[in-house]
Amino acid sequence: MDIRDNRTTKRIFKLFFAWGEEKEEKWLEERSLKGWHLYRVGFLNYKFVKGLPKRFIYKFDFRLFSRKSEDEYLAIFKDAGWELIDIFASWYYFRIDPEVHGESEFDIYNDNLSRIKKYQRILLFILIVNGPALYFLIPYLIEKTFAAQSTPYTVLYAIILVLIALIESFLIYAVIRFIILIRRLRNNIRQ
Amino acid sequence: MKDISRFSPLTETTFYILLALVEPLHGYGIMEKVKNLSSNRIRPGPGTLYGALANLLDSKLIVPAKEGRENSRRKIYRITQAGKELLEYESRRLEENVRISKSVLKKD
Repeated sequence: MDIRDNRTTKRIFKLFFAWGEEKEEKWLEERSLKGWHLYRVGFLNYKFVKGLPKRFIYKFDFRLFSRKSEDEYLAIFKDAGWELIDIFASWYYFRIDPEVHGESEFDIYNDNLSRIKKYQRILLFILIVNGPALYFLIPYLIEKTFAAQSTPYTVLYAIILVLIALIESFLIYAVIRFIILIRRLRNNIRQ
Repeated sequence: MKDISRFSPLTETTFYILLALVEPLHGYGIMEKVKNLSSNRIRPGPGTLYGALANLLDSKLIVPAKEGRENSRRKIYRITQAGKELLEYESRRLEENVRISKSVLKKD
């Protein structure tokens, strides 16, 4: 796609919480109805290109891949009519044109078990990346803070400790949100 | 050969994907065939399909078919002997469910 050439673009900074992805997907759909179409995803920001108002449906997937499996994965999505917009931090952003594909509902997952597996991958990823921080870094910093001989170092370690503790608290909150999501899907009698 | 029943019960989507692969097909072919077989009741999403194919490959219930090599972009899959045994096992299980539910419902 060369929609970026000589076209108006705009960047929007936005916090995106993966447990609220349905709301986010709807929001992107509303942007495209106003003619702003997502074309790039970055850290806390989206880039849009101005075009004709048109409804696109957006879905995000989370995958950790080797290159070879990614090719097959993307081929399956493409064949099913889903266009890859961008990949950011293991998140795959897709959109589909609902007029071309005459279905009544559009989703990249059609059963709850595969939806649950997606959230389990996210949980696993959070734990692998942040487990060491929780178990080693925080105790290490606590020890350093109290063992530091001079005041500036104590303050420095304390500040780093508070920052990391904040990030970790946020991630623990995220883990709880994902567990709630998984439970809700699991309690749904429909598979 | 280990007991095939350890894979049972399959999700409905996985059952139909496995059923579709009695003939070699690529991803999109599977989606279309599952829709046809189920009279459009089951429409595998690409995320669900990809995950199911990866699991079926891991469990050796399907394998990449050799014909897939000429077309590099799309992999072609086919069912294995173990996959067929699982389908037969699942068919018997479902038949049993139908038989029992019919006889229970008749009593009411």
